[in-house]
Amino acid sequence: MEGEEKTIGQLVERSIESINEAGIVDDKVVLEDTAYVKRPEGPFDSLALVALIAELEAAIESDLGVVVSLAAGLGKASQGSPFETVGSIKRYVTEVVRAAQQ
Amino acid sequence: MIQEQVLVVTGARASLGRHLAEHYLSLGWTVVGCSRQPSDLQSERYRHFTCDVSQAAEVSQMFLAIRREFGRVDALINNAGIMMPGLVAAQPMSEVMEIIGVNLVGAFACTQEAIRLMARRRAGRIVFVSSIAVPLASAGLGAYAASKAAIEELTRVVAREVAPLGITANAIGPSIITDSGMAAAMSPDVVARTVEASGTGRGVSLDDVTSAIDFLLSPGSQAVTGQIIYVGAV
Repeated sequence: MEGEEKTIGQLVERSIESINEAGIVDDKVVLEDTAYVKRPEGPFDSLALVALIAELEAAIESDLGVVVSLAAGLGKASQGSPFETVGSIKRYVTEVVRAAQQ
Repeated sequence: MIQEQVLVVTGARASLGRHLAEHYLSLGWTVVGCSRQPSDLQSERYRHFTCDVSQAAEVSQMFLAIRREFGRVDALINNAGIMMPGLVAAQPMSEVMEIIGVNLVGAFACTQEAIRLMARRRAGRIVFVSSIAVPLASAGLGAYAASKAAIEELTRVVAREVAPLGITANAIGPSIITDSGMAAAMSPDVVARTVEASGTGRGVSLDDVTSAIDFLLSPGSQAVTGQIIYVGAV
């Protein structure tokens, strides 16, 4: 479990870094668990979030061999959104991956 | 995961959708088709899903299966559409809702899912199918023309939204396709008026429409996005 959490943490950070460098956002997300990702507090707009989800889903497939959909998290309100912070994304991805593995 | 380009065609069982599926199979694409009924199209590179595009949950399931099986979508042709003629004052609301459900909501749902897959590769082509009924404001086709007008606006909005991801979105608006099932579903009067209003004075063929889509899927059209191309002049 701990090993998987570490793997998920790394793939989330790698995916965020990829969007940071993709040229579709002006400001970058700091790779710390408490750093905000989604607007208005964070720098990622809706398009960047769509790109991040695509990146995360592809990384989960290649690193963990699990096909999951993270799009349901997009519909949630800003406060309490799984995409609010780096840490909340890690928790959300862990939760979705575990549900898919059961 | 496969290396060949993957094209998704909705409404692929018959008429224009079937023609497009066969055409792009012949050009070497892997084609994923869907329709409410099963298809008898046989090819190693063809996969058919029985899916009602007006049901978002069915569309999500289909794209999840596409992700599992192919891992990519390079192009989407939102072809699924229905037309039920009727004067605005007389058309049953159940028909209106069905037309909007398939023609607009279905295209919206498929586009949403396709963008999420195309975003991985920062590339993709989305083609919507509108109709010449929009600029002609064809009497007797109120719900259909309204759904297609909405498709045209959706095309422009999607084009702006996804340009940073390297994805283009365009629409083609055919005149009466004389060798398709849709022409047979229209009254001879509407067909005659539509053909007469076209600048060419004739309907168009499935090949005419396919040629326009060929351009939109070609590497040479990378800079073309947010456009509506009418096949059959207006």
